[in-house]
Amino acid sequence: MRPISLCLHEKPITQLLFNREGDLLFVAAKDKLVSLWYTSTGERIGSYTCGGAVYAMGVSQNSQYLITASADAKVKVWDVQTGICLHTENFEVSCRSIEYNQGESQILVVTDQVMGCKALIHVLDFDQATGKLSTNFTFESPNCKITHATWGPLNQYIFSSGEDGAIRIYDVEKKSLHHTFVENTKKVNRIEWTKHRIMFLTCSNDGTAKLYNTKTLENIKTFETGRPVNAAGVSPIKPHIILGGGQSAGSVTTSKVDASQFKVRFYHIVYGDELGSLNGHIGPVYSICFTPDGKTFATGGEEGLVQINHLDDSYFQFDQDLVYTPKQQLETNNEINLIV
Amino acid sequence: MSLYDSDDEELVTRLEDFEPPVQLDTSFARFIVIDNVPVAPESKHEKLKSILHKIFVSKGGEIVPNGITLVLDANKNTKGFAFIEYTKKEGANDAVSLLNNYKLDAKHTLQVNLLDDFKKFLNFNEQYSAPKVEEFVSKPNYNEWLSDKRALKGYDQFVVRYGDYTDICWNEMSVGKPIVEKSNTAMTTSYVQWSNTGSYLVTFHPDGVVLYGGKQWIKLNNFDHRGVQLVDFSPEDKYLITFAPVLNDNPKDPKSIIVWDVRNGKKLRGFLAPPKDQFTWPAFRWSAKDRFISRTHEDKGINIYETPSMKLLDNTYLAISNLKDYSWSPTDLTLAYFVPGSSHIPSKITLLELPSKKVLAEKVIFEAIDARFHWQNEGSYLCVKTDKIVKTKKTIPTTAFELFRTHEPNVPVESFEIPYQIKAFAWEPRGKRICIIHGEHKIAMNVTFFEVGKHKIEQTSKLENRKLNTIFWSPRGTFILLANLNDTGELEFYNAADGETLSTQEHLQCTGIDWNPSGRFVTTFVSQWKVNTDTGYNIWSFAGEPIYSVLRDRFYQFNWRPRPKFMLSTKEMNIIKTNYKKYQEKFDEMDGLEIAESNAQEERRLQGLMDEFLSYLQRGEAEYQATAPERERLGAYEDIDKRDEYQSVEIVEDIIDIVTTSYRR
Repeated sequence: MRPISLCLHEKPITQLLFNREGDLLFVAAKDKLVSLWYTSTGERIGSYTCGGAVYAMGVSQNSQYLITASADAKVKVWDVQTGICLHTENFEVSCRSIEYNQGESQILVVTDQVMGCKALIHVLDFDQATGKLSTNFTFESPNCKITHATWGPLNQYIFSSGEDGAIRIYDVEKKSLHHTFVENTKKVNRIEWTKHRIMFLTCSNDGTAKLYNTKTLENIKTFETGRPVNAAGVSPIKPHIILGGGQSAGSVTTSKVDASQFKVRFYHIVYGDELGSLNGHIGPVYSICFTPDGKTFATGGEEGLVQINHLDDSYFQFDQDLVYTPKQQLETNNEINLIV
Repeated sequence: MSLYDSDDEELVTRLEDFEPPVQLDTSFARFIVIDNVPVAPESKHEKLKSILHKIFVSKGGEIVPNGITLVLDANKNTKGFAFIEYTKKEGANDAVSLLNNYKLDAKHTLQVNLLDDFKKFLNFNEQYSAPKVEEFVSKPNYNEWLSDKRALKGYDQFVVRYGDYTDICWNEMSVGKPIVEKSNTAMTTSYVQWSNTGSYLVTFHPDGVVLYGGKQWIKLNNFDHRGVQLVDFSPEDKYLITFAPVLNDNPKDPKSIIVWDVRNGKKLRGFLAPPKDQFTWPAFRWSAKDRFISRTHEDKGINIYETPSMKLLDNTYLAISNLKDYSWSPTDLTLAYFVPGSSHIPSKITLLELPSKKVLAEKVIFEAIDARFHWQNEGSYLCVKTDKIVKTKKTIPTTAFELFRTHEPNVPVESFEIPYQIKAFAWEPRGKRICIIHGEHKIAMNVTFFEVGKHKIEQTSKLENRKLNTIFWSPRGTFILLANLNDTGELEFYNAADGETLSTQEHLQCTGIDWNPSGRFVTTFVSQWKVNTDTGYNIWSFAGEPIYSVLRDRFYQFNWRPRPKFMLSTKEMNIIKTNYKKYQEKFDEMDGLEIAESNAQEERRLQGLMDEFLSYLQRGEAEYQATAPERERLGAYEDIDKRDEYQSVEIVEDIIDIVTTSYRR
């Protein structure tokens, strides 16, 4: 496997994102830049400069628009090809999380719980022709810092993870909190979907990543790593997940550490066993992303380093593929709504 | 006028003028009765009285003058009992509690009781009421775990503590990871400990300690000792000593250190704890075979208590003036002690046999101020390291040892000197080798091995320039793990018989090491008590091959379950050794079948998991396909779809035919 290291950013990487075709990689970091690279070669195309550390971003399906959420309390819409900022939306406090819904009619923005303001999830309408945003509504605050929020299948629900270890599910149509459950003892960092949003994985600081069935919210599996899990990547074709994390930034210099702490580990999604690990980062890993075809993945960490790993043929041969076709005989359950 | 007629009224008033009538003290609260007083003729009465007087005043306080009454029979010999009257009833109570069962001499043990108690017993209920027969509760077999089929295959149990959990696991090699037998939460407030023979597991609770054992891990006994912090088992697990810090402990009923009988759960005796700055644990040292416990009596000697009565041996402490330190042999009832000398009296190491107090060996050493005892674990050798007074600054610091060959007749003693200042010392269990770590700098230590030969001690091998600080011999001898604990965690696996290093490994920041009792595996672990990150344990084979490693959040301790002593005689063991090959074939076959079966089982389990997962997937996928039109409406195209497919149209011009037509005008 040949890894390509992208050295540009000098501050921690906050998010990595591949576009729908997988040929472009967007990298957001705390040094106010979002950089754009070709996945296959690692060649840099350009950067978008924001006003503050970029915490999250989203890219449209046709790779035309890029939305960024940054610490300067602004959400910006960029034209991917030219780098021009098409629209800016102001908020009261720094924006932590942002995502396009399916179909890109709306976006969600999560603002932080700081300086007296409560954490909020905003839903804004997105105009695909012009790239303009307009506010639609805001959910009631859960009064706890929200670390990540994401749209559920068919845009019916928004799933959010909180600092208190709780997962909150909001009903978009009813514009209210639908369900909350707490299964982690420490902060949940991220929610990562499996292909087609059938299941989701929560990554928590208590060292576990838990796999849930989206419809029934049943905890299918728990992966124990022994270290805080910051990010996860789910392979779209193989039964593998990658978990990355490591010690928190604050305690890194105050205790004896080893480079092997920041390994990125592969787990088998069904059996739960650790399959292998990769070294490469010298600080905690904050973001992991797979290309939609499952042949490449990228990892980004605290030290500002991004590694693109193109998987070899031998990787595809050693394990069976996950079969994503429905059995003809299966009775489909007509209920699409979540069962609580 | 009679006396009674006149002045009736006066009489009455005068009666009232009297003080209230004196209450007659009809109780005998200040009296005690002593039984088993020696029968003595009249001539010896005074002597007997004075002896009794001395004893009873020392423990009870003042006795009323002439308060000792010897009851005589017709021949003016003492009948065998006496009365004593104390000035205060507390004196009587003290005398009863402290002097009952006092051994006057070998034949007479005095029984002391309050006289009032007799009244109580006289009024005893004569009605016979049959005592209730309690249901017989059979106690579990504490060593039942050894007949579990996993133990028969040679796997051992261990206990791990992490977070709130206490797990008892089997170390099953064929499966490749620990099999949890019993997992409990909140089983203990601080730590758990195995007893010395592996029969019990001790857990701590605010009110006392609880012992768990047997196949089902049921509570066997609890010992109520509020605030208990530390425990110590006797070598054969018959007794248990617990310690709880108690403020203002009552010397008459001390509750700091308590000795218990493990099997019936009874408290045998309480002791006061020494003051905080002198406190060490274990506070009492056990002799071999659970016979005696001892602790020093300042520097005047040693208090030795017999079990189970918990009384001082010979009713007094073993007087050794100027005693510095002592040590029990691990297998015999032998005590070794060291008395430092002064400028004109040489220092001496003495080996004493108990309870006979016969001196087995003595060695005079000049100018020694301190000594440390290192017994070999079978009691065959005792090595005493002596520190001498440093008169001049020598260029090479040397360490002097005295080697006592305790199991040879007349206990020959040899001295030998090692030209280094040692940092660590360890005897090989069941063997004749000694391992020593010495050196100047932490990163350049040397390890030297010595072997005790028939006539002298020889150096066998040496390892140089290593980063090591602790020695862990395998409990069966021969193999040894040298480690750099609490630091970088370098591990060196060494074969002391061949003198070669088997492998070097590393377990970063490892804080503790525990050998499996069979000597086949060793565990290195990182405990949350010392280090915050990456806590967990690694299990290695004795040759340093990694078997598996487990990372656990908030991991506290790991302990292998000790095995009880061998019950086979040497002859029986030799028979097994000669027939080993035959057994091996049979076992290999059994193992093969077992492995095949467990592999098949594992495959079935994995298949089951995969099937379940696939069913989730396929249901989800079916729904996904069913909602495709909805997605179309939303405009969501997540998968690479038809829009990306394109057909390229190529226009090819080809001459099919050339037709020539001629036209006639």
